[in-house]
Amino acid sequence: MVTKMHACKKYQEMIAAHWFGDLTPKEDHTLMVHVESCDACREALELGANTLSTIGKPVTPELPEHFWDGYWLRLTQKMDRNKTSERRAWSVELPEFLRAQWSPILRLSAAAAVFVAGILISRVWWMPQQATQVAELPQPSPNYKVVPVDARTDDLLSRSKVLLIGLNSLDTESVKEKEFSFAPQRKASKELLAETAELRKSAGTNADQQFVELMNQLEIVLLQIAHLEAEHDINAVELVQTSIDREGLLLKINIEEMKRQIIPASTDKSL
Amino acid sequence: MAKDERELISRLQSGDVAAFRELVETNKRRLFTLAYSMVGHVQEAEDVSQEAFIKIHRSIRDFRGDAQLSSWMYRIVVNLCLNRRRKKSLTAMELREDFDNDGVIRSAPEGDPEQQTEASLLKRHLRHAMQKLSPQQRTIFVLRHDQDLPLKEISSIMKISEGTVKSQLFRAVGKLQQALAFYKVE
Repeated sequence: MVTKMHACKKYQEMIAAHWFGDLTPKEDHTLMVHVESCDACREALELGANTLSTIGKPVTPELPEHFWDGYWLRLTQKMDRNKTSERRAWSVELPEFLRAQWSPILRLSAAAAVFVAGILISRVWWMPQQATQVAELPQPSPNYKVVPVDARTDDLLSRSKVLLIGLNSLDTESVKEKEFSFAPQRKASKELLAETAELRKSAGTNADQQFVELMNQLEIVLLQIAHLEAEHDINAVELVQTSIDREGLLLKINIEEMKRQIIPASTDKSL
Repeated sequence: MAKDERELISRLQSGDVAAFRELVETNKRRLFTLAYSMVGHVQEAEDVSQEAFIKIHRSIRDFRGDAQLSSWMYRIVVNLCLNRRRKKSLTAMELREDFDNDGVIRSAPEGDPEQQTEASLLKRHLRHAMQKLSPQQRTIFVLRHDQDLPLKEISSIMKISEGTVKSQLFRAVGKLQQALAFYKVE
């Protein structure tokens, strides 16, 4: 039918309207005039009308009344279920919404949180590590060993330094002119020698090599002092001064004292 | 718009449950039939029609009365059906063979057994014939043939021109005629 209607496309719409009674009397008359002279349109009009007559009404299923009676109940139940699921969906979708909408904010917050956490962690873990590194700073070489220190060592170094400074700063020219007794220096030197020997013995083989060398050089100078003549032994004093300067003994004592001040007391061990 | 319809809309917009029930009871068959014409399955058609009523209930406050209430409701059904079709991406919108197995009890046609058999066969063949229509053609045919909606209203619902409605209607009837050609009207 359709294939026969190519030439009369403008009347197709009118035929469709005619089938369902949607044409005005005037339009209907126009169509009837056309179909009288057009076999294809007349055939389409008649076949379509016969088809609709065959089909009858309706083409949709006739459902039993109990189906319609329960419709309202089923609808209200569905509405209740939807409300419940919407509440559930809201609880699920809210985080999704926040993730989607607040994503940049959340990302920045997360980055800030990680940054702050990093600072805190570094303070807890990294700072003690720094302290350890500082504690290890005095070790100039792998062979360096921390010298066990105690009050006796500090006292020895302090008193030795005072003794050496006193003699090193002595003006030998003025000594010639006045009577000068070295008895106190000799006495102090002998006491220091005794303590030095004791410290060297206590340190044993574990003692720091630099400390041992310092003790050796100090011991030599102390021996020189201990053997000074009681009065006006200017030549011996000059020899002591030369030894102090040549060995840089005062400098080495100062370094040793500084080293001991840096080392925490907890790491100290008695000799 | 009729006065009764305006009053009903006003009551619906104020949240009157009785008004909503009145709307459902008045239109449930028409919306179901339209949905069935598009989805071809009783249970699915009921789902669609109920979804439509739920949507109407939610959106009635936004209804401004630019179109008839019935047109607006039909349009909702059409959109729901089209959305389902897109989601499924299947030809499931076509009428299905298993309609008789939906558990729906239908009244037997009156008349002698021979007429009953012939009517049953015609229904079966008609279902086959309806499958040959496009969803748009089927919807237009149902709206006009079953629902008796004016062409102008169908045009509004389908958002196509009235000329296209007539053209599609002509083609739909043509396809049905070809499919049911062996039936001869006495």
